[in-house]
Amino acid sequence: MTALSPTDIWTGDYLVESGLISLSQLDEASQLAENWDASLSDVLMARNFVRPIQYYRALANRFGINFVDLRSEPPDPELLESREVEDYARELTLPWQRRNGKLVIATARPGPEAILYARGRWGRDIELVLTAKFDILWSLQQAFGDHHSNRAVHELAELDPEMSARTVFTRQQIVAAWAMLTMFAIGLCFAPFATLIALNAVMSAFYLGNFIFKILLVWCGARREHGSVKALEAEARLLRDEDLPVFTILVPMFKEPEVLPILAGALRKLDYPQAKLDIKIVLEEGDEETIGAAKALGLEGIFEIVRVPASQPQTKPKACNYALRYARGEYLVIFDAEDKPEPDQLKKVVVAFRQSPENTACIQCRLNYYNAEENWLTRMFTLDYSLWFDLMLPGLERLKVPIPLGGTSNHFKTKVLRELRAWDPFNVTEDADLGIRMTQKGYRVGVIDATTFEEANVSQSNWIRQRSRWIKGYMQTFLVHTRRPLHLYRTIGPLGTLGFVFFIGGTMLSGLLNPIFWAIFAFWVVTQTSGFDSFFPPALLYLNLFNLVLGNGLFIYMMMLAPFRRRWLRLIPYSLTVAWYWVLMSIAAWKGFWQLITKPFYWEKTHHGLSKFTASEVAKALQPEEIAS
Amino acid sequence: MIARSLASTLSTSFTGARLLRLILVIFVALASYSLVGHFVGAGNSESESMLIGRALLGASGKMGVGEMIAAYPPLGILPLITLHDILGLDGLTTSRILSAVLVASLAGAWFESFVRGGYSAWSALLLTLLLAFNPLFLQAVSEGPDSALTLWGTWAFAISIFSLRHRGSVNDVMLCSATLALLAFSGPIGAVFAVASLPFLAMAIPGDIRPGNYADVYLVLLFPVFFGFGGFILVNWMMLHDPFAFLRNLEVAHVWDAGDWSTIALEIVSTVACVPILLALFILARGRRSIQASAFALLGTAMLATVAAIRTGAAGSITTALAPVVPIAAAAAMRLPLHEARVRHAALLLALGMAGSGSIMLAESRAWPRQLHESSPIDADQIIARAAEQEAGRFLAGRTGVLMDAEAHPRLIAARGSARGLVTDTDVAFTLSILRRRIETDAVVVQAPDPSRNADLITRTFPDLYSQGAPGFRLAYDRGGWRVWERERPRKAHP
Repeated sequence: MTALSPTDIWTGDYLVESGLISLSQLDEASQLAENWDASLSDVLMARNFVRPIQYYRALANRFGINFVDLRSEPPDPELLESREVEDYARELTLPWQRRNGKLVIATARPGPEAILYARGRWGRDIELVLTAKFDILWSLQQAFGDHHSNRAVHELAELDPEMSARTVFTRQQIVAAWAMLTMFAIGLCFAPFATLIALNAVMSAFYLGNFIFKILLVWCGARREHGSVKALEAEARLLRDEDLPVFTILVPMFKEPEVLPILAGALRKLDYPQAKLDIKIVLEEGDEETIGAAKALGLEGIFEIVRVPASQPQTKPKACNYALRYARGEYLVIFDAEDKPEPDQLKKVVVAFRQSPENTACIQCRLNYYNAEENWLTRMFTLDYSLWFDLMLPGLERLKVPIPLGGTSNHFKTKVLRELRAWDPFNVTEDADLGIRMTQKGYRVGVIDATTFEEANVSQSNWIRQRSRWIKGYMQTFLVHTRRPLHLYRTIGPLGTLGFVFFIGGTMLSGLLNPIFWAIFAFWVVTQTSGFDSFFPPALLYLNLFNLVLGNGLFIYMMMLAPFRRRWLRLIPYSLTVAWYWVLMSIAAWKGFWQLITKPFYWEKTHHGLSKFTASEVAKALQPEEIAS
Repeated sequence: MIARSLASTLSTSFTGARLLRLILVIFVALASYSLVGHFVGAGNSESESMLIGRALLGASGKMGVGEMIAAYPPLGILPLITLHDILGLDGLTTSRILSAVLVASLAGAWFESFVRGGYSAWSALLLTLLLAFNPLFLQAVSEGPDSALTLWGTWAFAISIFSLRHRGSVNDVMLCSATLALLAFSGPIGAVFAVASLPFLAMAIPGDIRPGNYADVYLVLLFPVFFGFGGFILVNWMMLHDPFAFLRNLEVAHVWDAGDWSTIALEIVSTVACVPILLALFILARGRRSIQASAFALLGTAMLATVAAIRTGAAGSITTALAPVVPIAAAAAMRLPLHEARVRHAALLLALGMAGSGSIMLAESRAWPRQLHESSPIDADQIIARAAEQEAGRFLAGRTGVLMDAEAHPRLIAARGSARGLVTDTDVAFTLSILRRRIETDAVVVQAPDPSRNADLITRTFPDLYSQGAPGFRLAYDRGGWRVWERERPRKAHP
């Protein structure tokens, strides 16, 4: 517990004397500020005890310095430097204007620390004025919005082009694909049976490897489950609030105002000092609907709205890259708008980071659904996610195979994220790509047992849209990271490479190939034709049979195992209907493949808020007692 | 490279000395079992003969891969053929080597699991010896690779039952369901054991699962077995155009001997006598309900499996039926509570089990002649038929150009030691003989027609061959319902 600073003590007294807060509010805020090792102002605004503008005006009076409204009197752009934006945002202090030959510094946290910082940075001959925290952030966005937006789009592609999906197919990849197609065509002309048999053999071997690898993943992932779950929970409970760092939460949203209350409610429930939360709701500039809804909610001072200037491609990674410029936290996490993270998730992440090797750059939490029981699709999607996050990702971690990050709840070290130039805005599964890139750059991704609950897609057409984007993104990721096969092999090792090929490649390729094999098998069953016999010599026929029987059986079985960890056993019988889910996946795979060629950067939007559970969650989140709690 | 990388990633705490110790144990076990196989297993078992026969046919190309993979049990044959091709030894020796390797590795696994379970190396060695030289286990070693797979399956199953009830993790579910599938496909005794476990699996379900979800857990546990059988039916349909062709191999399915209550009670008591450690666990693990429940589930399974294996004919004798209790005892010894007298308890209980097993084997060998002539006509017929097949097989060893329906008589092939030189349905001469209804080879083997069994292709094509022979052929062999007719003037070239 850290005692309040003298500045905070007399600021608090002054606010009470001015009637802006009550004595009991001051007591509560002082207590929290001491417990959290946070400033009184942060606590007051985090708890919504005082309106920011009133607070800063009162503070200006108390200090006897001027208050400036940066919206009407913006900073002089000549004084601001792009490379210092992160410092301005972190210190909430920036050079405002030059008056009478003196540099005037605007700060939102008056006191000795700000004075020391300003003198250290701009010299002793300065003058201080007071302004509001959000005005500083707003001014920075006004001054650098276009530049940062441009950097958000192009920085990775310009500085690390081999890692960017801006070029979909490199020249070498096109030549390699052409060479393979040519060889295939020549083979078909001169030895058609042998060529088709060879193709069949390659695909069968791939299937075999794919399901062996996945069952190995499930086994290893499940072994990990009984490890440190309880220990992590206990360690998280033992953390002292004052030792916790500032945590940035990015919530990119686009045209989904209906789910905002769920998010706000879930974030309020986080077991983390609110004054140490830097929550940024990242909205597109033209999305007035969501911006209006966010304002109307009257969110507390910990919530900040970041408006991303309009530019192409209009994707989530671009919005996140933009918002990252203004992040103040040591760690950073992305949540989707409809996410409900478990309250102790951030603390568990802090523990995990502290216990992990220094090169751990990201901790991925598990994702699952709160509307699992809504319909057949949500059940299957829940099984799918349970398999992916509860069993396979821990398996990847255990086998030291690169982990494709899930869409949300991936917690980063902000410094590393900036160093890696964050997300690729041209990749529509930027998270998966970033996970692989991190491993290639020598960083590690960890997986922990903390869950974020989301809304599962309730409609098959919406699901196909979402899945087609994911599969397209996997194709982009595969193409990007196989541009330099030797480099990939050297950086992630043989098992990592094999795992990457089967996990990323296998997921997309099986969706594309399955319908072909299903059609051949169905045709053979119906007609009993001997026309295929030439393409299935005995050894290959048995391998295909093995894949058909054992492979499909194993995939169904893995789906059955998926809900076991959470004891959601009522979902198990639905695994038997997974065949239709595979059909949907194949439709999505082919759609994704088609889009990769025609519209590679197009972000297929998933509509949220369609679930009836979401409606009830929204209603619950809007209840006054829920907000108060 | 990848394997090395995977191994290093998955490696636990195997130090060099520990690995060396384990290898030593396996090596000693392997040598011991090779000797046991050589001396004890002089008359190979029914299932082993079938397996060797099929493997020899497969290895010599006399049986299509389709037929091989569509036959039950399917697990042992491919490793046996592979080993046969690598070593170039006769079928019986190859089978013995494979069995010895499998069982020795099981003994090694026991030793390692005891060490990991908190026993000292010497204690682990003592317990392993008490299990590995249990007479029931030694007899099972001579039963062939399928039997060895069943023993492996029972051990892994018992381990999974203990951990499933205690911990209930996904790995435990996977292990349990995988071992049920392994048992179901390892051979008739394993299949009976898997079926017998069904009612008792409920007792192994983790305590935090509500009874309303038991059906869901059963579905997960049994899915690999059901799907495997479904796949097997599909493969039989695709390969042999008969989805249930594999049932023809399961002669046990036709045999059902209800027995009387006193016999059944004796079998149950015998089971308990061979695995007293399970009973002792109830007392020694007081207050640990998960261990008690698992022990009860395993004891119940073992008793039901023993009775069912004998009743269905899956096991030819009570000692064969009881063999799976030895691996169960190994798993139970791991679960004895940590206590200063743990080693003493474990050693005593395993020694008691060993004594019980020995007594039952002794009792059975004394009862054998009486059983053969009086009480069990089914067994007696089978034994006589098997002896006749072996004798006919030995007669055919070294003879070439012999026409026979090899697929129908794998035991005879096993006794002959090789399928080379036989003219079977994969040969043109066989097809011509059947189509022309004229024997195109120098010799032909035929079994006496018997309305109680399906006639093979030779008998169906030449119904009078057994009794009357064929023009130009003389009777070269006539014993136990088998005749070999040889051409009076052999042709110069054989197909």
